[in-house]
Amino acid sequence: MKITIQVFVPPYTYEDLDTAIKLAEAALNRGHDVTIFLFADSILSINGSVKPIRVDRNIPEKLKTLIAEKGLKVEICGICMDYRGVTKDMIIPGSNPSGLPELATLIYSSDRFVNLMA
Amino acid sequence: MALIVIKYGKNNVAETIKFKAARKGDRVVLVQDGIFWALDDIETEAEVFAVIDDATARGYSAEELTVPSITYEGFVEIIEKSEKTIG
Amino acid sequence: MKKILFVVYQAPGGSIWVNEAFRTAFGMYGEDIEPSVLLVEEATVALSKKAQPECLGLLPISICFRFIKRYETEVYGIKEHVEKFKIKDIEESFSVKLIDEKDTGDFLHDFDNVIFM
Repeated sequence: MKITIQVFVPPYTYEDLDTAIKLAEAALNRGHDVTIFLFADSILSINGSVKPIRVDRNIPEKLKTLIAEKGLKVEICGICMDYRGVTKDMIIPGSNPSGLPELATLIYSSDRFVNLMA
Repeated sequence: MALIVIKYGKNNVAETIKFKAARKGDRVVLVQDGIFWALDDIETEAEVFAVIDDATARGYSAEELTVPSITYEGFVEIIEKSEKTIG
Repeated sequence: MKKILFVVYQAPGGSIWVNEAFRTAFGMYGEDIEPSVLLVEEATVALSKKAQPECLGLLPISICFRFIKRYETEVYGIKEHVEKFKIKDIEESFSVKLIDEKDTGDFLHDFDNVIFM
């Protein structure tokens, strides 16, 4: 099945990215084709330069690993990046700046669409 | 048959709207602070489940919840079964 | 065709979500999607003629009007919430349809995906 998960709120402040990542990983393990669509402040989670303290999880790193090893797709709202000064050279490899046309295509073509409310 | 995702506790007005919308055949999944709904009996005809990691993170065991608990894999199984979502 | 509902519950002065819900809804028309927007609870004040987030330097709600007209995007509110927030004059540009609070559950079930923002 094609499953898309949309997230709205920032990583580290809230748990949504953690929920999305755990859900995505469980879905990938069950053989699904999974995309996380990052919207508004949630786009901060693809910034490859984030530096959490050592005991904490590294969210961009986790996304990067899931992209590389399990085929997770990560789409990022481009205008949301512009608003927050996040440029293409800052983002983790494999994540993809896109926009609302791509979100529309994902919503239309996904068998399941789940969002985590702001 | 909709999947309804609840991520905030009882004080959130949007979650209240979503919970009231839940009907027979729907499946409600409580994640994050949504698990606080499961500390008391919930009046709904829908099936309700709580993600166990989120309960554990907040100091509750599965036995202390009024609804069955699920893993993330269980959450995915519910997504597979639900054509519609209210998130 | 997929029917998608974007729901906002937070006020337009305090958060971005009213504008983002409309912007996202307008972005759906490239696909075979019928988007609608529902404003509930504090977000209902966006319907008021007097609501002016631009007085804080925020984006005005009125930037949505021309697209609502062009795409004929359906906008919904809840009757009881209009009363609760004492909204006297509703902006006509929304061509808002008010539903009864008791019908909200059935209304949400009419859509393939309901995306609360």
